[in-house]
Order: sequence, then C-alpha cells, then structure tokens
Amino acid sequence: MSLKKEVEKLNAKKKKVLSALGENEGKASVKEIQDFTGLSHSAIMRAGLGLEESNFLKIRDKSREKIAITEEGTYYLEKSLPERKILRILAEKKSLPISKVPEEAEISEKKVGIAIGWIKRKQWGEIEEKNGEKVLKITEKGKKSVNNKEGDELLLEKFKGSEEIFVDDISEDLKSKISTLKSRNLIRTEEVKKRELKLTERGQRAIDLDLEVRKRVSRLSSELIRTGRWKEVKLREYNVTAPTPKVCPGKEHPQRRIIEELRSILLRMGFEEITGPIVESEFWNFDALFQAQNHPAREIHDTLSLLKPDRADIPDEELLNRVKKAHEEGVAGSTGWGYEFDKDVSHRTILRSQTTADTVRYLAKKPEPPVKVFCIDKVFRRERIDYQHLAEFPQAEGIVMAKELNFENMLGYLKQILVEMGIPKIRFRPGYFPYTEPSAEADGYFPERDEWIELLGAGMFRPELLEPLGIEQPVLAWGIGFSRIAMIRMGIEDMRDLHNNDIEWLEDQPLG
Amino acid sequence: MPTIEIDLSDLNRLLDKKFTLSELENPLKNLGIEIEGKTSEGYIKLEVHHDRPDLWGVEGVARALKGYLDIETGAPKYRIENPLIKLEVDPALRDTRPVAVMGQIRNANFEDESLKALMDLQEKLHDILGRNREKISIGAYEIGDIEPPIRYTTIKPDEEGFVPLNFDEKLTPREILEKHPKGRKYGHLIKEADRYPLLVSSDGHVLSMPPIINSEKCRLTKKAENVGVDVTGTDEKIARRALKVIMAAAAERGFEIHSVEVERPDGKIVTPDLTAATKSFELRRANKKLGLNIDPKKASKIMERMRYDVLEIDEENISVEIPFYRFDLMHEVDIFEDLAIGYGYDNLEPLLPSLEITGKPHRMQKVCEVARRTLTGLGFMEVMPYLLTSPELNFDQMGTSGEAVEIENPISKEYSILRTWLVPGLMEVLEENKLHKLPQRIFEVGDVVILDEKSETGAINIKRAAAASIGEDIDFTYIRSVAEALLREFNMDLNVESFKHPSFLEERTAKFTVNGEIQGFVGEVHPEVITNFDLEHPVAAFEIDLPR
Repeated sequence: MSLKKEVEKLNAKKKKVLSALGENEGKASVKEIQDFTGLSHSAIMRAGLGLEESNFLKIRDKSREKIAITEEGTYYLEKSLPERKILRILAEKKSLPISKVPEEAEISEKKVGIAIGWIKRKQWGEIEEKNGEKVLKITEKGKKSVNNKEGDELLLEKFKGSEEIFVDDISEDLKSKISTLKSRNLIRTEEVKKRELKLTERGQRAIDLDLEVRKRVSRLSSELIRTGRWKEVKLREYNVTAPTPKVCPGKEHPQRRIIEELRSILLRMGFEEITGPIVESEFWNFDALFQAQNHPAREIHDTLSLLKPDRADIPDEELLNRVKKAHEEGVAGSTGWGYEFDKDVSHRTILRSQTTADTVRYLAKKPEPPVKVFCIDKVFRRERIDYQHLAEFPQAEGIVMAKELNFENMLGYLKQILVEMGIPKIRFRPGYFPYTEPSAEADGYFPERDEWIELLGAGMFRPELLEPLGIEQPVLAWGIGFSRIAMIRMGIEDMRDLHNNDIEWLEDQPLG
Repeated sequence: MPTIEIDLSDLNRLLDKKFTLSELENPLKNLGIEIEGKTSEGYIKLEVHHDRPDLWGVEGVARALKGYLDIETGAPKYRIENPLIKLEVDPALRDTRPVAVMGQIRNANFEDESLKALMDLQEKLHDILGRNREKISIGAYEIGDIEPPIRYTTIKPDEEGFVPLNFDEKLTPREILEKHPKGRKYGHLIKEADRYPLLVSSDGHVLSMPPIINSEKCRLTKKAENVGVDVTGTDEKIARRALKVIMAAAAERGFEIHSVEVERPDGKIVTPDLTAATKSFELRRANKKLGLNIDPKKASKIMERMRYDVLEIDEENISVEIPFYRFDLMHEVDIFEDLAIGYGYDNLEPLLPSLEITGKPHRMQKVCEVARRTLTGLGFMEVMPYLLTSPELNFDQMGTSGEAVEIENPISKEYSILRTWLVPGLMEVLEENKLHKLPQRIFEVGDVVILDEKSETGAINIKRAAAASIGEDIDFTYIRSVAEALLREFNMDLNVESFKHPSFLEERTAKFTVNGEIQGFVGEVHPEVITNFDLEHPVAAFEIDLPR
C-alpha cells in the first residue's frame, strides 16, 4: 500500500494527532497535543500507539527533576536561616554565649544545635570556652559573610514567588546546593515524567503528502515579509500565556530615587541647591555653628577625625576671632559657653558630620537676602554599621534668610515640605538642636501604621551663630530625617539597604 | 537624646492626680518630651532633651507637668536649710579629681520607686553631664550612723580598703579596680594616679571611692532618712549643676534638703547654691521672633506655667526669675522658646511668607543626572557603595598604590580611608553578586576624594562616573562604546590614546583626553585583579571625570 493510501485510511483521531505534530514542528507532549486537538489523554495515547506501530512516530518518556519548597523551607525563606540570624547578632556583638542564642536569635531550643552546627560548617563562627561557658565567636569568614549570602540561601530565595522550580532552570553554582537544602529538609525533589510524541521520517513524509496541512513556520522572517510568502504559510501559534525570560531595565538606586524626590520637591519650593567639601575643618563643622568645643558630638567616638590631611586653613582670621569670642564670653547678649576656645581645634580636619557645615559656609559669603538654599550631601559618623546605624548617609537640609522671618514662618516651611511629600496630617513639637532656638520637630501622621513619625527638625539659627558671620537677618534652618523618609517612601527598614548593591534586590525594587 | 524610664504611678503620686498615659501624651509632647514606649517591666520610656538635665528624672518631669497643667505654677518654692555637716577637701586631690560639692537630705521617706528614680537620675547625670563619670561622679549614701565631718581625701592603691557595694569582703583599692564590675568599667579614670580619691567619715568609715563605687556599709536603702549626696570630679560648673538637679528632685518629693559647708584648700563655700538669676526681656522682641501677639498679662501667665516667677511686668518689659535648675538659658531667644512652648506649639499657625525666589539645581547635579540617565538607558544598574573604604580595596586588590584621605579613629580597617576612585567599589559589588546571572552591568556616579594641598581643607571631592561589566562576551570594544556614548552626551571633543594602568590589561586600555588633559580611562580588567576579587569571568570598566 502506498504511503498516501495508508494515510488516507487513518482514522480521524490518528490524523488529528499527526497533524498536531506537524503543526508543532514534529514533536509535542501529550499535554500539548491535548491543547491542540481537544482529544482526551487516553484517545491520544491509543492513536499514538497505533501510529507508533505503523512507524509514523515514536513515543518517548522524558523526565525532569523538580524541586519544591517544604513548609520549613518557606518559614526560613521568610525569616532567614537560623545560622544567618545568629551571624547577624555575632556581627554586632562579636561573641555570644551559647546559652543566650535561643533568646537573642529567637530560635527554638531544639534548633539551636543544628543552627550552631551550620555556623561551624560554614566557618562563620567558632566555639570557645570562656569562664566555663561556651561562647560563639565570629570568624573572619563570618564577618565577610554578614553582607554576602551563600549559595544555599540564594537557592532558597529562588522560591520567592514560586513554589516549585525545575533543576535545569538553575545555574550550575546553585545546583550543587540542592543536596544541602534537601538534607536540611527545606526542599524536596521529585521526578516529573513527560511523555513526548515525535514524528519519524516516515511520519514527516506522510504529513508532507497531505496537501491540506499548510506548512507551519515559527518565525516571521524578513524574507517572508519581503516575498509576500507570509500569506502562504501558517505561523505557529504561540502559547502567549507561557512564562517569558526575565529582563530588567537599568535603574537608579533606591537611595538615589529618594534623594531625587527630595531634590525635586525642594527645587519646586524655590530652593537653590548648594554643596560643600567632604573633608571639613572643625571650624565650619562645629565652631561656626556655636557648638562648644567640649560638646559630646565632637568627641573622638562620634566624629571621624583625620590623619591626612591633618590641618585645614581658615581663610578669615577675623571671623575665627569673632567665633572664639562668641564661644568664650558670648555675643549679642548671650552668656556664651564660658570656656577657653582653642584655635588649634578649629584647624583640625574631620569628615563632615552635618550638612549645616555647607549652609554656614554659604552664609559666611554674606549672600544678598532673600535667600533659600538647600543641600543633600553625605555626612559621616563614627558608628558601627547595623540595621539602624550607618557610618555615612545622606542628609538634606536647607535655610531661608530674609528680612522679616519668624518662628511661625519656620513652621510654614515645614508644613509645605510635608504637604509636598503627600503627608497632610502633621504636628509640631519643641525640639533641641545646639545651634537653633527656638527649635521644633515636625511629625507626620501615617494612618496605615496609626503612628506619628518624626520627619523634620528645624529652628532659627542662634544669634551667637549669626552675629560672628555678620548676618543681620533671621535665618530659618531645617533638616530632613533621611532614614525616616527612606522607610516611608521605599519601605526601607534596614538602613544598610541604602547601600544594598545586590543586583537581584535592585532588580526587584519597583520604580513605580 | 537621653531616654529615661519612669513609673506612671510614681509620676501620678508626684502630681497628686490620677492620669492615664494617654491623657499625658499630649502635654508631654507639647513640653518636648516624647513617649518612646514601655519597657518589659512596665516602665514608661521618655525621650527628653539633651540641654535639660532637670528633666532627666521623674521628679523634674512632674515639676514641668505641674506647671503646664496649671497644677502648680511659678518657680518651685523649695526651702534649703542651713548646713548641719561639713565636707573637708584634701589638697592632695589637686592633681586628680579636685572638685567636690555636697548636699544633705533629711527626713527622707523613700519607697522602692522613688529610690530607683534617684539612682536612675544619678546614672543619667553620670553618663551625660559627667561624660561617663570622667567629669563628675555622684555618690548618695546613708549617713545616719557615721560621724561628720566627712573628708574628701586620698588612699593608696594597696592600702587596707573597704567592702565595696554588693561585695561581702574587704578589697584594697587596687583590687576594687580589678575585681569589681564598676572598677573594671571606670577604673581607667584613676588608675594612673598614685592615690585614689576617697570619701571617709571622721570615725573612719569609708563612704565611697569616687568615681568608682560606694561602700557596702553606707548603702542607700529605702529605710534611709539621712542621706548625703556628693558630687566630685574635675569640672566644678558641672558638679554644681548636677548637685542642684539632684537636690531639686529630692525637694520635689517633699524631702527636707540642707546645704553642706565645703572646706576647700582655697576657702569655704556652701553648696548647693539655689539662688535664682533674674532676666528681663522686651515682649515686643519675643512676639516678633515668634510671629505672635501675646499681651503682657498672658505672657506673664505663660511664663508662670513654664515655672518662672514673674518679678515685674509692664507694657514693654517682663522681668523673670530663672529657676535655679535651668542651665540652658544663655540668651533671650532661649526664654522666647519657653514662651512659645507655654503658648503651645499646637496653637502656632504655620505661615508661609511669600519670597519671590525660583529654585535652581546645582550645576554638577545636572551633569550627574545626564550621566545616570545615559547609563541606565544602556541597561546599567546604579549601585551605591560607601565612600569609606580600605587601602586593601582601593589600592592593593587593584594592583595600584597611592595616597588617600586617612582616618585617625576608624571604627574598623574596612572603613579607614576615603576612596580615590570608583572602579574598586564596582569590583567589590561584582564580587558580592558572583552568584547572580551573567552578564552584569553596573555603574556609579559619585564623589571621590583626592588630597590637594592647595585646597582649604587639604582635600577636594570630585564627581566621577564609572561603569563595569562582567560576562563571557564582555570586552574592550563593548565598554569603550559605552564610555563614548556617555561622553558624547557631554559634547566633549575627545581624543582616545593607548594607556597603561596596572589594574587593566596592557594593550587593551585607553585613555580619553580633552585638550591634552586626561578625562578618564577604559579597559579590560587585568586577570590578576579579577581573581583578587574571586571572580571568574572577563570584566571591563571605565571611569571618567564629569565635566565641571
């Protein structure tokens, strides 16, 4: 019997299966044929077995390995692995008695042994005996790992948003971690069988004979368009709901977006932007702000002082003398601080610890009022970095100088800044800053948290600050609590995220 | 800001009322005191201002609230009785902690809460005013069964000592520094001296070894009726202030307070001196500063609510007596603020003045914005590493050397200099993202800080842009085309020349110059540098100065 006859004699279901394969470039899973033909699974298998017997196609069983996250895995995905929790505490405290682990890391007693076992296996910590007590100490590797996730954690994070993934979809690096997570019962693997039908050469010829089946192409090529042959071919139908590969735009960093939002608000409010040096003299950073030389913020454990460069110039000796006098005996009716001012201290170099240094430098140039300026610049503090402290962070502040300005005007600016940020319900409280009086703090109300959150600090520059600079008009000054804005705007609760450079995290921070 | 812990029932006892916490929330807020939450033991945590030591204890908070809620206004009428005992100061203390002042409390009637409140206030004053006891330390003890006068003298480290608080055996002064928890914590303050300070009664009982620890014998319990409070240290002004705050707290509790005669090498003084200063100000000036129109009668009422006594008042001037426990009033503006607080920040009206000024971005910020927009448009992800870095990262790992701004007191070596270029930070970010899929494209636009002897502070910040890419197919051509795309946006007339840089592969590195001056460089990172960062794929990078 000729091939053509044989094809003609095939029953309708067999024909459907054959043409489905033809439409799918020669091979398809039972499921795909089901979608295509509407036939039941058993009907397709019956037809398929018949077609295999006549050597039109081959049936193959393919298997893929699938990983699913367990309940425990889901828990740790949310809360992070117990050894990671311990490591975070170790990073702050350097050492931790084992007996304190359950309480400090909030790990149940029975998991402690396992968690510590992992700390040791990952070489994040070592156990030492101290006064008869077992104490966990962080290792060098542990310190490095504080901000770096390891493979097992990255693999676990693949389950964010999907409960199962296929092994062949993950990178080689991470594949090696499957057995680790499996042994911890955080994931389980499962083999998934898939049955695939594939045309034989004979089957292909059978389809080519059947003139009713138009040739199928998968790609609309430029040639098809130019020649007009697109009219003759049939484009393969895409499963338009199937997942597509992830691509990601280049984006500005979340910290940048907060800075830019603040900048645009302040520019809109008519403020001009200024900036200043990162390496600053104590004169501009403190003395000129009427912050006494024995003020606690100036001590060695708060401010970063410099070995190199070790001395700054103060271009205006007269100004230095006037500031000295304001500190020692007071000016403009003030009592002053009543201590001996040391000019050598003024020349000392530090990393700018407050952006008020920038604004006072600006005022010293005696700008023509009215003046509205702001700056958003980095400030540096001698802080150990943890979830609420950074050694460097941006600060936003501004000043207004004009002839007739009063404290209610100050509050007017605070209100406007918050309204521009979309925070309509606000309140004021007395505040304290070394260089302003009267001072105020502004809180915004956040209904979803049912909470007042401190957002701005402000005040009128003290006369003891203004008089040595030769400024006669009142000056209003305000500063924005950057960390609070980050929390409200970007949901950043851990301040270290302001410098988080994990690409996956960056990709996941929506621009909208 | 200092945080204090108070007991609500104790506060209510002092106020002689029964307030709930939520009833007090607003008055406290209006006084600038913030409720932070509760401790696990049920104490209320309050955040108070740094310049108001008088508010660092429950008694002071009660005193301020009494005024604000019109329970009791004007300056508190505390009576200070004449000295009953004497404190003699040994000239030998001249070189260690020469300052000593003292007060006495009689007919005290402590309860658990009030005793704890006194201890807590003492600790706050130690920590903040005393800078962790360096400038002052305070001792409070039962003096009912010791013989005055009290001598402030010295003891040799190995002399027969005394039983320190919470111990049951006698230790020598040196042993106290070594064995007692407080000795270990504060011992450094006196360790170097030949003789340690000591307070001792005339019948030989040790009261305390300041600034370390009291004696167990004179332990202050709630049964104590006769209590001595000394403040010793190095700073007389602060010592006097701390004593005033404590004595004011005791007086607020209704305890009888006495001054003490202090016989010093340079003469006799009586402490504490609770004399109040007076100050007068023009109401017109206050109103102008605040933007208000308060009349003299109302102003006088407000000042009394803020616990000032008003001495004289006319249409123009108000003369007030400043409470003796206020040390924050240097200038009339400080009193104006109290006027505003008494008036109520809630009652102030935010009024925006109309100033015809338009906003203007900084020139360099505009340039940075162009750089960021170009690089994100090319699919690069912005990263923001720290400016603080280490010589290892900034130089060694990059195979370079050089000088940088160097910190004298770094918190760790990792953050001991300021970066002089951006590429090392990008390399570190690539290292951190080692497990992320390739290729990766990242950039930064930010400051580097360069030593510059000619500049005012010895160093200048410079805005730069840098980008790096890692992946199997990343090469010189690709990264140079990105760099040039960026430079084109600045309309610069560029030259490209071959360049040598130790961090990059020779023959695959170029520099950009404008009018002969180097503007930046671009190249394939040297495999040695790549492996220094524990990476395994080709990396190419560029860094350019942004046009100024």
